[in-house]
Amino acid sequence: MATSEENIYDEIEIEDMTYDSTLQIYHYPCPCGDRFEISLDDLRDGETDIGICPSCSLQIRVIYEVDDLPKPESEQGKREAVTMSDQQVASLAAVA
Amino acid sequence: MLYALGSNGRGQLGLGHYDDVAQPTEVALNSPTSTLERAKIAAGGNHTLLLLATGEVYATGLDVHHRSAHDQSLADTSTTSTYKRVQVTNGEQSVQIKFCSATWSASTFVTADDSVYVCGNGASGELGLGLGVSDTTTPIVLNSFPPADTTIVSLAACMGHTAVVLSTGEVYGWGNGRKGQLGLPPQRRWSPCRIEGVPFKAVRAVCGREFTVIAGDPEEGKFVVLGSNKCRVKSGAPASITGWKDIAASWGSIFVLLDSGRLLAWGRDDHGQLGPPNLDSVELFAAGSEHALAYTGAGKLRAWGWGEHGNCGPGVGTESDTKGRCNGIEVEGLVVGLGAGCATSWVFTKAPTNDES
Repeated sequence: MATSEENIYDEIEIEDMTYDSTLQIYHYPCPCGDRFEISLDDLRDGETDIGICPSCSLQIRVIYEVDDLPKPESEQGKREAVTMSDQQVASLAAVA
Repeated sequence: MLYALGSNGRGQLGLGHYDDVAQPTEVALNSPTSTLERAKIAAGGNHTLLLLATGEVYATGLDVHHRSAHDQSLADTSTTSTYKRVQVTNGEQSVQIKFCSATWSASTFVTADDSVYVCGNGASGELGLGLGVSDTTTPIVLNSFPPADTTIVSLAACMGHTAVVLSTGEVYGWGNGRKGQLGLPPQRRWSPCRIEGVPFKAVRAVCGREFTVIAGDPEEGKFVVLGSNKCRVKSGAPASITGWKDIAASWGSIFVLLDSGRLLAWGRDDHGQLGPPNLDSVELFAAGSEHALAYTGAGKLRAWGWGEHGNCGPGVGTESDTKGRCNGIEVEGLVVGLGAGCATSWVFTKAPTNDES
């Protein structure tokens, strides 16, 4: 859905959002009863700063600093996909 | 009778199904309709509390009061689409409730003898049970609150925080205070804290999403708005308001109903939340998250604001709001009470007597 200023319900600081470590999303209540959601990946990539509500047309803009987001290596006990570079794969294969 | 309309994806309207409705739809309750006299509604994001004058509380929607000890998060919590009794007990017996309120996914109950029970989930101190306590599966009493020799005269809550007015005129609050809505310094409050910055004896409080309205005696007209000034909810407020009979807050707007029936409103209006300019004299009023309901002296039920989920009734328009006007809602009988939540609306009615029809 296109972002128009009319659909931006509010600008929300990420400190006021709740982080769901299982789904790896930040969420915030929407006045319709559902919640605005944005994925950690989207925030890290800088792809979008817009949180979408699955149940209605309202959206939020998330105010955050990329540096303040959880770093991949500091996430403890969470399942995460580890992607290795070709060089890392090659060096692991060399010692196997 | 109790009618409901609006958002219903978690059964929060209590209709026995999970579809939104745009027409007032009767809520089937397994009790005589006389028990609905002077009943009140409090609504969270996905759960609804129905407080009867008898002191019993019922709830529907996200089942925050009947959770299994195995529930790891709200995602595991089941829903109900019909009202179930909420058992608030002091270990021996059920206690009578005089006030209840709801934050996004938690409930607060004040008993007839001024104990406070909380239940549900909240990551910003909404439970008031102490630092880091963000979840309870059954109603738990707040210890050491209210202070000795005080009673609770007003309870209010919105998405992230709760405010309580004591018989002494002091105001306490807990939950998300990061915008100053619980006084300074702006921070989360995980236990009831006295709200400073109220230079008068308070009689009533209402909460918006990021602000708190505290009012003194209507004859003196003192009031204060604490917290965020988004949409000028603070700077747009009159210096004083005398002769009011009710106050209410939406997530971004404030409403004051005067004894004369005139409704003052200020704050957010991007979807017509402040209502039409030529509203008749208002008898009853309820403010939801971004919409409002009013019952006029002429016996008309009106709704306005953001109505995308049918909560303002049918015919709200493709823009999903009532900007510049209001919507009429037809319902049978005399309207005796109103309720409003997160894109949800409730209407209490009674059959007219011979004099009234």
